[in-house]
Amino acid sequence: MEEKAATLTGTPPARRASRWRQIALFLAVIGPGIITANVDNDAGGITTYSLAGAQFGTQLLWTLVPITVALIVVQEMAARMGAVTGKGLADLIRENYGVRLTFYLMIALLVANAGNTISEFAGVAASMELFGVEKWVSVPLAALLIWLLVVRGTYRIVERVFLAACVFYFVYPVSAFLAKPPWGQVLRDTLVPSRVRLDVGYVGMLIGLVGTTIAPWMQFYLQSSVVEKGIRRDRYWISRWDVIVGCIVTDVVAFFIIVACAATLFAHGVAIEDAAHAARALEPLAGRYASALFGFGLLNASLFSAAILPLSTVYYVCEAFGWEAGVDKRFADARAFYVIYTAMIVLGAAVVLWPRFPLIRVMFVSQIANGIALPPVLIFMLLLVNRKELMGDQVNGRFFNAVAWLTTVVMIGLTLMLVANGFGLKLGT
Amino acid sequence: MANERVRSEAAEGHVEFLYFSRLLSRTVVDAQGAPIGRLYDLSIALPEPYPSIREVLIRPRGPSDLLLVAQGSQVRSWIEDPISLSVGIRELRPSRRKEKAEILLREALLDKQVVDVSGAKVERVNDLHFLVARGRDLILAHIDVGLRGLVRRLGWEPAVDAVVRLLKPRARYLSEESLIGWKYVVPTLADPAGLRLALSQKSIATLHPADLAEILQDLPADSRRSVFDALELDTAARVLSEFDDPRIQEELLTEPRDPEKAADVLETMPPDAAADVLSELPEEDARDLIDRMQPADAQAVQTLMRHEEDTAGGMMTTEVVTFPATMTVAEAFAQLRRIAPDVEFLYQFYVVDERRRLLGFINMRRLFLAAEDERLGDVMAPWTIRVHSEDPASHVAEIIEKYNQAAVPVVDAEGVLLGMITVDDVLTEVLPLAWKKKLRL
Repeated sequence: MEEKAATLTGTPPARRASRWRQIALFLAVIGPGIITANVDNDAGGITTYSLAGAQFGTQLLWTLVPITVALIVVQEMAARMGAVTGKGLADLIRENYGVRLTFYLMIALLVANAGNTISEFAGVAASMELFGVEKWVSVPLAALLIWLLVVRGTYRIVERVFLAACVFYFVYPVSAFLAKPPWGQVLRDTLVPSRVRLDVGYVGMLIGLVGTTIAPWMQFYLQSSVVEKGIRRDRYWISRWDVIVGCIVTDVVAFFIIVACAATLFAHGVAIEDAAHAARALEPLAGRYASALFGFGLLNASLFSAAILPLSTVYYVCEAFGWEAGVDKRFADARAFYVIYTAMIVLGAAVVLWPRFPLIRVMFVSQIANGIALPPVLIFMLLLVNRKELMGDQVNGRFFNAVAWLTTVVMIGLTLMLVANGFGLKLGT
Repeated sequence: MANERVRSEAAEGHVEFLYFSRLLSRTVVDAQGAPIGRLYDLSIALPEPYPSIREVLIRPRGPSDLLLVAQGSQVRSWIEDPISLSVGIRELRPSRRKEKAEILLREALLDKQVVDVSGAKVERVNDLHFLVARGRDLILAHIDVGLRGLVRRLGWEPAVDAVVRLLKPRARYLSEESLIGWKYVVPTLADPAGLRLALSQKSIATLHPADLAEILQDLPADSRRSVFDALELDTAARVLSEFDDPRIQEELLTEPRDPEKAADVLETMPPDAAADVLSELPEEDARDLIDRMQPADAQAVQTLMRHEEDTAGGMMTTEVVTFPATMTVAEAFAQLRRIAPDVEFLYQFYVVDERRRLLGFINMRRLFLAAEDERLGDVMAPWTIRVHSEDPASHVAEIIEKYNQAAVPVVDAEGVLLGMITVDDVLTEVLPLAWKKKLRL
């Protein structure tokens, strides 16, 4: 691994061709990590970050550093398992822990992701309304666009469109700079946890931030796309950078969303309910452009995630049960694949258009399902990644294992609190 | 339906079928009826076409990981619950490492991916289907890859069956079993020696190389490697040129493996196919493999690799049959018979002078219709259909289409014959790449 890295940086003139090859190799391997991490900043994520900034200003910025570390630790394991075993996570769980556990896990994930997809379409509706487009127009159009892209397009085109979508996240840093935040305090609050409180609101928001960042579906999606790109042991070092850069970029975007909302909404005491609301509230405080950019970012994130989430879900469900899957398969050969995929998109779009649909309650169920699925997924991952017969010498090191288990335990603790919190809220209303 | 039949036959006391899911975790008792533990796994001997159970692994109660082994022949009856042995608990040994020539069904098959040779597909095993002869012999008959097998494993079969029967009594779910005969099943074992054994008696060689390539593409990298390595040289060579995705060719040739064997596979391929594969590899790997090939094959491949990929020179094969103009038809037939086993394309031959300049060509049909004592110079087609090595692929396609030929000769500026391009290589070049390159997520 070191040797390869050396040829990438050191450039003896005779090996120019080899250096170009290395760069081509790099471009061929990157994608899965960056895409997965960016989908993570979906409509739900942006809403959570906006709320965190609006309600607590810069006070919660410090959490982003440990969250990034945890995200990298978990995602790196998924990518490594994909590169070493050549199998997806659902595949490995089925082969090692049997069909029964896999089945119930898949049901939980299906419910969780159906809920997530609904929230992406809600994000599309809300952000397009900012630009004066009725949801009756925007949501069916978005659903059709996403469906066509995947069913009619090739994976190469799909991945390119997705990578391009990642670029549009730069609108958030721009929004944040337009909001003119107090940078000194922003920096201080990022590096040093201060004014940590233990009241329900603060802890609840902290759990929300963690929960929105590390979701079960990501591990499946990342591992499968590493496998499908044909990334193997000898090129895994590139994939690792893909994952690390992706995770950092994701949390940098989160950082700027919080900063933008902290400098404006929090500073002026404006209460918001969701991300679209935040975009609207930004207008008198940070100007028309900041507001429009914020709204555009939300639209981009929602569309992007609405395309990836159903796709990744249907891939790993089919993988677990041995059904044919793939956008290049004919409908007759991959019936389950197309039916589930189409159903998730139609459901997601229809629910948002249904006037009196209990959206909040559905989101609540989806959040609980996510929470229930996460602990077993993380534990399975750790058990699998430490199996010598699967991973050979690529099992976790002792230090990495300690960090990974710590992350897992904290994640599980927080997620259980999130679930309990959800039930609490439910009972309260 | 199969179940009804099974039941009626069982009533007559002949045969009965049993699912693995029904056996797993069943209590096993010894000759005195004292419980030993639960059935954990079964093993079969690999190269047998209709394998009966060799060993029974039993997990005794309690927390220990120890497994006890009974011989398949020591089972008194498979049908009864609990399963009773004909020996006492003291006669059982703890399990040791398994032998190469056997596989554990739960460990190596259940929930794993296998290759179904009859359907040319990769499937996931939901359950195993046994035939019970005389109540005592348990023989692995089928694997179950269907939805019903899945439902059975989840323990919901009675409930789901009842619901389906109520809603749609003639549902395919109830009548059609998705069983694949064991003789068509190739397990994708990680252990290459075991896999070679498993392959030895399967009809994997009856698959078309293109189907085999598609199957390999669907397998995870490790299984792909072990199946590929277990193939015979000839089959491996054909399969290798069928992959749409150069990454897979690279993986199969350059991953840590015996480079001599990789070179052997390349030698077995037609030179143009070998050159195509090699030109997709990283330069150092390609050079290393060429160095290990037989000098003659290596030279042919290197000549081809010097040409641009989408020109006539890059598409051609150097494997051509040439005759002098003075040879008689009878002599030509004698020579053809001799070289036929080593030549891929036998429909068009070229007549050249002593400096290998192209004089004309003869199609097989023309050769058949000629008299035995005619000279080839008089038999050959008088017109000169040919392309130059620098001509673009589109020009080659036009020529082949215009003159309705199965192949076209390639010459250099002096008219010296370099090779030929067959119609299948033109098709690969000119068909839109979109359908080939559609990658799955």
